[in-house]
Amino acid sequence: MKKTKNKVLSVNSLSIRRSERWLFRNLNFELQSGQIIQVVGHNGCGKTSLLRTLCGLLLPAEGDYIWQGEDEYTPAYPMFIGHLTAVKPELSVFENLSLHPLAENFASEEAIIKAIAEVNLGNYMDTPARYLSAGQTRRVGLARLLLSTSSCWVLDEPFTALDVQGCRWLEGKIDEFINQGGAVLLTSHQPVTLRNSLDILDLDDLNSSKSNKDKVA
Amino acid sequence: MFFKLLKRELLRHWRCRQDLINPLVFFLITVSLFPLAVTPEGQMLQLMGNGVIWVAAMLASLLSLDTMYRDDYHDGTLELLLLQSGSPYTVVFVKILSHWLTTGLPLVLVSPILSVMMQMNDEAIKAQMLTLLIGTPVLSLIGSVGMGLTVGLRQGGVLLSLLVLPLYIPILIFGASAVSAASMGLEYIGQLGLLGAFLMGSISLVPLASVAAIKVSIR
Repeated sequence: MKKTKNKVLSVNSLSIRRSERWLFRNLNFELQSGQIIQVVGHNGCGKTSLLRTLCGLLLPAEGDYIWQGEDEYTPAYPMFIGHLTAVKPELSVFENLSLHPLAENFASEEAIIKAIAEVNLGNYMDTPARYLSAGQTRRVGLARLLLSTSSCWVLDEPFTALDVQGCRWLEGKIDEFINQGGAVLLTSHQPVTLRNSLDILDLDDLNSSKSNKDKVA
Repeated sequence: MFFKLLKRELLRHWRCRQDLINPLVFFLITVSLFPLAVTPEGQMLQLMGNGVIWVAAMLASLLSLDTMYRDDYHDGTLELLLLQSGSPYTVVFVKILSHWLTTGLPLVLVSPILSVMMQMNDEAIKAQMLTLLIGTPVLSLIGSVGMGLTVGLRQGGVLLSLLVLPLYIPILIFGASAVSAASMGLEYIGQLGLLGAFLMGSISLVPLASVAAIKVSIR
């Protein structure tokens, strides 16, 4: 178990704009290993945009962010799970995991079989993913968390479509990952009950501190 | 990485075979309707055969572009692939290659049957196959840029044709002219050389443009 706290991500005066509207401006925070940050805020306040920006899918309007890799030469790949599950309906559950690259690599066969068993899809190993329910599809996506070697998970609404046991299981997994020195950045509308302490990043606070004059008419 | 991704793409195409057959059937039907609609007379068919086959191949290729990125974009795979694979260029290149293997190559393979139907001579059939073999990969390559740009739009079909068709025109001109030169017993190595130059140029430049286009669409 790693106990040293090192910075995983630092965000410096980040601002995100969608076309003419500023979602938020001047956001500063740091994410350290062993830390969980839950991003909260009302619908449309920019939670998803924030996570997508940090993963490099959107460009920030101002400011920057830095992922700290193992050393300065290895890039850090945050493990991103978004609203969309990225599960191909034509491929079987096993193929969905074995032919999907994670941080420039493919998982080994044994690891995949183990991961599928753990998300309770052992009987669906060779079933095409289009026969799965929404919750089961979500589980296939989450099984990638078990296969990833990343030191940071970025989860956008990971509890969507999961049943109660699934939510408990995911919370347990997050706890386990944190205890191993991982870092988690997540958004969720439902309260997350974890054994580890949880830091809240409220985007509404950030927005209410400034007046509406920033909005371009 | 390359082969695993290629396996993934080919497996996907194999699992939805009707998408695979669709452009091929379109190609066969379009060309075989011409003798019925215009004239079954040999000399006339010979005259227009090469052009008809090339136009039909081009449209069939355009028709199948949608399968390249659309599904991946909608279920979120595309962004994860670009993010996690380490090399977005490999991802795009594999997508283009698998698109050609599943649509362009079958067109090349059935084209001799249609050429015979169009009463083309041996030399022209050979030229037809050669130009399609060099030309169809260029169609897939150029199409991938257009598809990358329009994948985020809800109705990108018209825009895609507008973007891509003008760039297809040179391929069509040189491809068809090589075949008509061959049917008249002339040298056609020059046209083939130009098609080859198009192929090399687009192999080296298209992955850059496609990745940039997809990034614009994802944002």
